[in-house]
Order: sequence, then C-alpha cells, then structure tokens
Amino acid sequence: MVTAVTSLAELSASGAPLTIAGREFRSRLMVGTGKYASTALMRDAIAASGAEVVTVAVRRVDLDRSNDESILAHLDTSRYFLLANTAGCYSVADACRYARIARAAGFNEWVKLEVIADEATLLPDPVGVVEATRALAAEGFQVLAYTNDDLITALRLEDAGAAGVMPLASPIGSGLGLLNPYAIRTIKHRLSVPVIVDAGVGTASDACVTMEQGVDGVLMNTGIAAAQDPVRMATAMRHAVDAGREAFLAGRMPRREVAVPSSPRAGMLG
Amino acid sequence: MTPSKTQGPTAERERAAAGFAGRPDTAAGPVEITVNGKRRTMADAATIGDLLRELDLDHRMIVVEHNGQILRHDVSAPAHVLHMGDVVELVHFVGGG
Repeated sequence: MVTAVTSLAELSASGAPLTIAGREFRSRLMVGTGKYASTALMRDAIAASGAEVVTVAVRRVDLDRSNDESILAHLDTSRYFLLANTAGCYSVADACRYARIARAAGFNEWVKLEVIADEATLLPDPVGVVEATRALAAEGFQVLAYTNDDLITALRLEDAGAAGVMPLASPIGSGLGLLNPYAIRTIKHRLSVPVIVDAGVGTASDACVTMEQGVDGVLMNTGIAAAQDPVRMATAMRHAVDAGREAFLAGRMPRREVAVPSSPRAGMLG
Repeated sequence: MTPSKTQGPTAERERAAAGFAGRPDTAAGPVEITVNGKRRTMADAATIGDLLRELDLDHRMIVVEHNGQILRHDVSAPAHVLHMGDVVELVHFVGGG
C-alpha cells in the first residue's frame, strides 16, 4: 500500500500541514472518486495521489440494480477523510438537504458545498452558495464552498461562515487549467480561511502553477480519473502539488524583460 | 403515530407525481408509498426496518429520509411506521468530485 507520506523527505516537501477548521491534513491534494473505469483503478489512483481528503456524492440507492454498491465498499474510511459534496444541486434548499443527508451518514460535519447555476458551464450560483453557506454554518457544518474565481463572492463566503473557500481554476471537468492566476492570488491574499482551488486542473503543470499562487490546496477529480493512466497521473499530481507549494514558499525570482548571463562576463579569452 | 404529511417541496412533488395527491389515509390494509421515486406497496403497519429488509438493504450504510425528515442511521430509524402516501428516499454515497 502506498501511504500518504512515505518518507521524511516527502514530509518536508509538503511543509507544514494544511489546517482547516482546526483539523490538520498531511496532503494538500484532495481528490474525487467519480468517473473511474473501475473501483480498483480508483483505489490505486487515490492511494498514489497521497490524498487524505476524498470527495463523494450523495445519490439515491439504485433499487433496480442488486450490485449497486456504495462507494464506501471500496474506500477505507479509517484512512481517508470523506468530504461529501452537493454536486448536482441547483437550489439552496436542495444543497442544504443533500448536506444534511450526508451528515446523517455519521462520518463528519463537513460538506463541499456546490450550488450550481448553469448546466452548460456548471458555474456556481454566487448568491445561492453564500446563502447556503450561512444556513449550514449556523447548523454547525464545516462548509467548504465551491465558488467562482471572484474575490467579492469569496469574501462574502468567509463572512457567511465558510471554513474554507474553493474557487475554480476553470469549469468542472474542463481540464482548462488555471485561467485567472491573478484572481486566485488575490483571493488567497485577502481571505483568512484556507483557499482550496477546485475544478479545472487538467495536468500536473496546472496543479503546480495553481499551488505556486500560494493557495492552501487543490482538489481535482477528472484530471486524474480521465487520464490515460490515472495511477501515474495521480503520482504526477502529488509531485506537482508538492513542487508548486515548495516553489511558492521558496519565492520565485523576479521576471525580467532582458537576459542576464549566469556565467561571468569577465575572464573571457583574448 | 406521526401523520403522513409530506414535508418540503421535493416530497410534495414526488407524492403528486406518484399519484398520491389528495388520497386520504386509510385506517388499515396495505399502504402505498413512494421509495426513491417509485411506488411500492407495503403491509399495514410496516416500518422503515421492514422496507429495508425487503430491499435487502438492512445491512447497508444508507441514510433514510422519511417524508422529508432525515432519520439518523441508528436504532430509531427502522422503527418508523409507514403510512399511505409516504415518501421515502434511500440514499448513499457514490463516486463524485
């Protein structure tokens, strides 16, 4: 079995743990459990990612299929922190209902809150997600709110009691990468609660560039699940998140419009 | 005994869609309910526990919503009695992002 942290070197690479609502997580990479060709592939990919937080969706049991198993039959819930989402909810009432049902499963009081506004883009409803965050936070939920890359909405979510804010890199499942690094940087700079970029990461460089903005973590599903080799991509994402975090902490050199030689100008042969 | 009033817009919608709108409760005999959007007939005084046993779900990790009320996954849930027109949702976790 691959463990989340396999060596001291990796522990130092990931730096200080990610803390959300007083809970520490070793990995800054969170992964989804959807879209895998098989549950075995999902298990292996999640293990390779090193992720500790895994997202799950809330749906009806399919009564017509006797083999319709819960995802929990394939996940070691003592090893992973389950983060239920409200994916597919288009109203505040539905999102709150799904969150309450998820909480009744008894694992934790956390929710990855989605209030979707548009089927074509799956873009979030900024007004709805603020309203739902306020309602659920008042009920004791730790709300991680999926939102657009808009600073003002992010500030409103923090004010409404979100435990963390999850701005998108680009639309869910698009793999378009980080479209607005400036917006994400600004959100991270202005918020006190953790900022986890969720959705749109397509490959390792996307994850790395996202982490280089200084955000606290990245959540992805399709970027791993839809790769030709999900287990290998999960490994790449783990390294990319660590690399991006380290690069951010290291502080990059200033950009220059002119070349500056790395070798001495003096001492050239006559 | 709790009255078999549906709660919330979704439950009302499902109840209407399943043809229960306006049907009065009956005192005895089989009860017709809606489970995950489909009609189902249960014996008189059947409980949530009976329903889960019939569906072979009694050992599964699921959450039950009964007429819009979420039942904690504990000993109290199976004891809830089903009434004519009740709406039950049986919910679990599936893969998602």
